[in-house]
Amino acid sequence: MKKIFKKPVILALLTIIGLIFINGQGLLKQPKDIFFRITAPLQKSTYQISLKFKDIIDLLKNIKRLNSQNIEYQEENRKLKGELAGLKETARENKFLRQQIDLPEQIKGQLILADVIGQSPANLGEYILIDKGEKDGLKAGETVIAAGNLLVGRISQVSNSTAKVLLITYPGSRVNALIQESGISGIIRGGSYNSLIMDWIAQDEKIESNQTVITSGLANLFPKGIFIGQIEKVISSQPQVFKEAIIRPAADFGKIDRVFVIR
Amino acid sequence: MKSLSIVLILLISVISQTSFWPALGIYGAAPNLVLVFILAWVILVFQKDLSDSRKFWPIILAGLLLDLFSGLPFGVFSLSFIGLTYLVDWLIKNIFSRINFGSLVLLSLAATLFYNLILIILIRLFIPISVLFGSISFKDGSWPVNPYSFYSILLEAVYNTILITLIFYGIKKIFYQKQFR
Repeated sequence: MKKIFKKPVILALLTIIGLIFINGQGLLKQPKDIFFRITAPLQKSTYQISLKFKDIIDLLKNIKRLNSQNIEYQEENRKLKGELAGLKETARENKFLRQQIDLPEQIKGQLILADVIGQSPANLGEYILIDKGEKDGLKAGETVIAAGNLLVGRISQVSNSTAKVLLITYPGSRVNALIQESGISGIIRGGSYNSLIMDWIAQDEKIESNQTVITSGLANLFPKGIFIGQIEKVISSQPQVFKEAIIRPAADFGKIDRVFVIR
Repeated sequence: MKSLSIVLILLISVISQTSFWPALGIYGAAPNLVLVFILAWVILVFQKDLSDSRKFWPIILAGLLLDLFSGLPFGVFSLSFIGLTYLVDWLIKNIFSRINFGSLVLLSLAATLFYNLILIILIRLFIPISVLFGSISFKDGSWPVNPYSFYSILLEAVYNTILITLIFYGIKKIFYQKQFR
């Protein structure tokens, strides 16, 4: 019996199982907090440097398209300005009508700004690490968005000074969603790298490319109305009861450096 | 001094793997520096003999550091690395008795594939639905991967092969010239 415990594999496994147990009891919380507090500044600088490198690489890759991209963005900017003016007017009317029928303003959550300092070490694209934690009032389950009301994910683990955000692009992630133009609902799950899949869409529902997909607010997991992405392609096969849509995420998960947590 | 150097190398590898390489990855794949370290450690330090338990501590430490940084269940990476250590040792003893460029490439490919396979299986086994407040669901029998994950893993294997070749021949030239002739 003693000989078994002297075997390296048994010792290693016992050590790891011991650490798993200690972690489960919450006894590693303080050491983890101290560790993250020491490494977070270095991680943040390293991440910022890598994003700069990525910008340079992207610039070199897209140098030929710069001019046509610029024209595209200018045109899109003009269209968006027009839409924004219309939306402002709608918001003003909404406020006026709410006052008329004595309906309170929708309560919006407080937004906490956080910097992304790292990503998951496994190449499964599931988590990002942010530099805010319990001391900043964050809790597990809170929604995380990028600038422009773009859905990123949810906080899954919080330590004192950092938090881990589970991304919506992770294959095991699920988000209740609806198509803004038609109100058709479905479930979003992580697809390939930087894409999402919306399924549980009935075959007879009409959906088209470039339609907008937002959170539906069902099950109160994510607030309603957060922009998820746009439909890129519809996959329909007659024998199947439901069809699928490939969604292009609105948030650029490869370049994300700042997020907001909705409290 | 040697132990401190190993700890520093591991720390730098883990921080660069979590904070530097992911942003520069291709289709979500980035080099796995810690895996490359483990591979080099098994080949150069163990040298076909896993009986010395004192040589295991960098492997456990590497797994522990990745478990800390990852949002996956604690222990997943540590267990994957222990499994990987024994696989690589078995491959060296039974198939690749002589370490040359070709065997290094195949070892690296096998190690990356096996490591990711263990990781995926452990994630599937370890994650209870309640921990992630319903935002992850395996009720429909899905796994935490999709067909494109395979391409990502292959790309990672290519990255790792390039790195292990550079590191192995670099270390061999500096420290182990006599032993590996």
